[in-house]
Amino acid sequence: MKNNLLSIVLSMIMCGCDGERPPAGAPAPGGSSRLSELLGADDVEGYALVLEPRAFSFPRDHGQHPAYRNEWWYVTGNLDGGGGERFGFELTVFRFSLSPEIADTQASEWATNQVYIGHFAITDAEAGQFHVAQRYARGALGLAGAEAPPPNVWLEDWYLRIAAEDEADGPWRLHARDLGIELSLSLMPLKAPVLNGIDGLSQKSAEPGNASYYYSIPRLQTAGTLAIDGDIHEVSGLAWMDREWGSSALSGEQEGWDWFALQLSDGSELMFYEMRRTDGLRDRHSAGTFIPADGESVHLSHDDVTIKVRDYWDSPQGGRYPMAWTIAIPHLQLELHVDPVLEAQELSTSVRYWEGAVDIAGVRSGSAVVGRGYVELTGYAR
Amino acid sequence: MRATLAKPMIPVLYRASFGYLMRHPWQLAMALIGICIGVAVMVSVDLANESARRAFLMSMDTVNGEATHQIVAGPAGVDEQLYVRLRVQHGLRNIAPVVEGYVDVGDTTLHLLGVDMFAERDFRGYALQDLNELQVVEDRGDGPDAQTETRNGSRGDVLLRLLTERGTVLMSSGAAASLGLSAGATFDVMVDGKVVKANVAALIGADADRGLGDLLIADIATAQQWLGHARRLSRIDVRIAEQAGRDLAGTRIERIKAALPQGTLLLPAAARTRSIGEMSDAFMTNLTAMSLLAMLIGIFLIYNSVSFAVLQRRSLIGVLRALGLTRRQTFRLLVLEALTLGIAGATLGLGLGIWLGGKLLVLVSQSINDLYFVVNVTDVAVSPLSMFRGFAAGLAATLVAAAVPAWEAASFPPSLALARSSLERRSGKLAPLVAISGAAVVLLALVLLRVSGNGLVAGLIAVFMLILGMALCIPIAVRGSSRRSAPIASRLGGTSARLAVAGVDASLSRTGVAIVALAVAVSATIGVSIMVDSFRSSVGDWLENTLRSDLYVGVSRGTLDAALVDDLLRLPGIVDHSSSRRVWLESESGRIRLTAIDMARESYAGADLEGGDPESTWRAFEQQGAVLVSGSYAYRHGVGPGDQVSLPTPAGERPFPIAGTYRSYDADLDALLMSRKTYDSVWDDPAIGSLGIYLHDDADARAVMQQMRELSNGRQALVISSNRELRERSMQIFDRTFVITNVLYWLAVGVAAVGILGAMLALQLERARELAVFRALGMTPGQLGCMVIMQTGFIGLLSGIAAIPLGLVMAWVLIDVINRRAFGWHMDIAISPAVLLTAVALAVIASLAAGLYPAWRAAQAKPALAMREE
Repeated sequence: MKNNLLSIVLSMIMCGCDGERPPAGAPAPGGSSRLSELLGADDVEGYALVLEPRAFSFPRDHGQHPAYRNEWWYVTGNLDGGGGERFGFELTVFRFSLSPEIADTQASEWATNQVYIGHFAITDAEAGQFHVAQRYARGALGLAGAEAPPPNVWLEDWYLRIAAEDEADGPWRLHARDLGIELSLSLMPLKAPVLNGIDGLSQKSAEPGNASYYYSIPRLQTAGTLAIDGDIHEVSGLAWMDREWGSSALSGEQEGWDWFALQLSDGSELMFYEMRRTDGLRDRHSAGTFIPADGESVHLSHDDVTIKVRDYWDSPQGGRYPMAWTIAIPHLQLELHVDPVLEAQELSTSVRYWEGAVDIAGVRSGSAVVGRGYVELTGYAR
Repeated sequence: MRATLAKPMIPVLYRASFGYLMRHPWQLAMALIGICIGVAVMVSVDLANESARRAFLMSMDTVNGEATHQIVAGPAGVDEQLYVRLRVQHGLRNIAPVVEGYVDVGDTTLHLLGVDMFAERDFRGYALQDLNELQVVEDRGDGPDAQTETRNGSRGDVLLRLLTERGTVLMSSGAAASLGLSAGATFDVMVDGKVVKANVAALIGADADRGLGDLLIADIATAQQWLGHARRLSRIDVRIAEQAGRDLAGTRIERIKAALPQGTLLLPAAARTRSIGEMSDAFMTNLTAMSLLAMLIGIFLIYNSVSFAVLQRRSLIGVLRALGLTRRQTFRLLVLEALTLGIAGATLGLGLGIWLGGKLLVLVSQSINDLYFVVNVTDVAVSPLSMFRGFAAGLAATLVAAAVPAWEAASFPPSLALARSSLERRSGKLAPLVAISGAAVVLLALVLLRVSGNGLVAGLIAVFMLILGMALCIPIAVRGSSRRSAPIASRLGGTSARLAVAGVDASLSRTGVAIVALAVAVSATIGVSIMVDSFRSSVGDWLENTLRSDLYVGVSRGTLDAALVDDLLRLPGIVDHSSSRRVWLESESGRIRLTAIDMARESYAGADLEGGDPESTWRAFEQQGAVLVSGSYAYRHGVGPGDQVSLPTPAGERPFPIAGTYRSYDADLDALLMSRKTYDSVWDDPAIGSLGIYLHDDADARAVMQQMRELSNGRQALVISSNRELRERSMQIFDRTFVITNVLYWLAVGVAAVGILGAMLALQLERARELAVFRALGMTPGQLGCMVIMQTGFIGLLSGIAAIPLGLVMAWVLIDVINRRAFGWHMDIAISPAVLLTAVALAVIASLAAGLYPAWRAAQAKPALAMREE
């Protein structure tokens, strides 16, 4: 579950001040009110809207849906090094449509209405370090894009190559390199795509169309190499992919969200996003999915889940983030303690947000479970 | 004893010196004017040159941004897929695509820079940063309620518009202000003769110092569309941080180079800028030389004034010396006096220089735009270095000029100092010595010319030495001629004429310098006039010979629309045509201008081949892939037929045989001519820059031109000229280039005329008693005035005559040495007697004019009063 970063991101590109405080007059980062102002219902004219469930088809739907305003491919995962090191990674590619009409590409192949933004982050728990890189490119000329089939999402030399369904045994490939860090992974999906919300339609606020198509691949067996400043680590672990697209999401009263993607040792996964309102209350559109090791996944509404914040972390750049949680889902007999691997996992990208690896310990139906996962916190930066 | 006496005397001395100058304000003024004009001319040329250069460098800096290197390819530019490959396959990050060109908005030429904003951050951050204060105009409502609202927009809004709306641009606030445009305004842009609509998305660079003066930034898609550059980039900017360490930078460079296809080069950005800027270097050096000439004449003037001030006080100095003033003190006193004058004059000169620099800058930048590259510069940048240089030169010149008379005054025994005649005797004895050293200097100059190869600066030094050496010979020539002419003058004009002529010789220490100054100034006009005339007639002949077509079709910038060319050539009445395409080839060794021509039958006779057998030359040119090199190129690189020239091609560096050399005055650069056939076999660039149209004998050129205009209407704004019009326009540009030259030599003559005035005034003044005696002996005031006028006239005549050989030598050096070395041009010397006569007349008129006032004064003098003076 991600927000549309368009306007703020674009503003920040222009001033060339990623990772720094924006100059006076620039919109405040994480300002979702600003976001909803720009991306309110007025602005979606001409774009396709998410109004009713669709028939998903893979691998085609792994590729882009340019009729919708925004879309993303989100891969996060927890990795172990051969020497017992602990790493987390995030590679995200966002696609934004700048205008509903397809630009005339006759006179120039640079003409496009598609913009791609990428975030690449590595958590190095042992070193206590968090590395972040950000990129932009236009979705033209092959600089960045998302095709299917075979599904391939790339932003310059960062890419995620998704194996087509019929070559089920072929692993996916993920590659990203920046800031002296190079990550090369092969990923093998252990579960089929899970449709979140109602048959993959995830309603984000009351207005019709403020929704997205949303599916996850909650468990991918992952192995490869991670090089940090010349030190090469053989790594393996589990990854998670989130896919979402739509044209409009937030309403004016929504401030941000806390998103949990948790992989448990019993083979089950939990995804839940809690939407926060500007008045400090939890939004009733908060929702999630519980995916048991076998069998049908279960849709979770906001009443099904309680989340208690146990601790906070003050970002040195401003803003206070919740930093430890107890999540309880009584009807699943599930209670989990979620704690960050490292507190400083804030991405100082054009929109500042926290996205980091977490450890899980808890109880399910009376038995102890452990796990790992990723948490995303937006709208806290000040 | 002397010392103790001398000490308290010093303040008295300075007072005396100050008082003297105050009592002779015209003399003070003369010295000041000399220094002032000399410094002003030098400073103004320096400032104009520097401002133009700075404006160019600044605009290049703006356009290059932080790029350390640039990837360039042949005439058609770089394949944009190379950029994609470098980013996607090779993972290169610090690179940015650029599509650029020049466009016109009204009368203003703007530099259009098409960029990918996503790659810009590390290159031209300024453009993005300055968007802070942008304004967005929005239309609200429809119909009668419609209104526009201005609000502060965000960078995001602007980037969105740049990316999604074709024709939106960022404009520098300076350009917007001068065009009267504001954010949100829609305006017409002329690109390659085609009009496109543009809209100002935002203004950039509120800060005028940044040199964003002529910048228009658009999304790369807009730029490609406007410039017709589909699938092509002008270049790829590369940033390789030096601080990463030289080795690492070297590795990165090698890595990039390895990824480049044949014919695509990675060049250092600074070297590219330099090689473009260097095109105008020779032009600027020549201007500087002209300004130094003015300074040289200024030195004569200063010498004149200062030595006269010394001369006048000989008796006073004699008395002081007799009273115990030491030589050193005398020398110091006079030098200090000169120093004060120098500081005052040079300071005035700086002020005048800045003003004059502004006027010159217009001319200089006009010429650079005509001849070399686009540079927009309106304000003189007052560089401290230029100011200091001018000031120091003025001061040094004053001191040098003052040192001679000061030393002279200090070195005489006190008793002798009282007598003026001793000085004249001395200077009379000195004249042969001076002439001998002059001859030696001339000899040295000739040796320097021989041994200095084709160095421009050495050539200019030799010119100055020649002038100086010949100038030193003038006094003895004056002596000879005035002695010889005295009897003639007496026969022609009686006693007063005799006295006038003999007086020139008798007061050689004074008149000699005035004559030299005037002669040098006038000789400069002769030299430069002959050079310009020769140049003009050579260019005229060349144009006559080269321009053979009846009509010429081109665009003010860019290339002709291909479909339009086809339509044009289908018009009735056209029997043949030639076409040309002019491109720049870049390599590590610099830039070469290549013109690919498809010649009509008649064109062959027009190309001005220098030597060789035309038939075999053309055969090699048309059929064997050989090229013709310009005379400049051949001269500068010492190559000729049979040699080879290596050119960067899409398949890497490749040698091309040289078939011959051709005469060309259209550029002082490395220029080559290649047949279109050869060009097409090497480069994939079908564009045509201009057409030469040959009409049927009975075709009506006017009618064809009219039909062409109709055909092109709404498609491309063509520049269609008849043969005659093109020739006239070419000559106009030529003449415009020499406007500066004219201005400079008129300044030199002005300085010299002031010198004559000063010399004559001084003469009259110190001869007041002598003149009074003449009056007492019965000369009427009219006769006296007449005598003075005759004397100045004679001085003018002598100067004019002396200027002729000097001017001829100067013309020869300018044509055969300076122009050849600076521009590689070869031209035939054309001397018209009119130039020489005009020069002599100029000298006589200038000195007669300068003599009027002294004559009037002499006539007014009261004999009794004057005789009583001592």
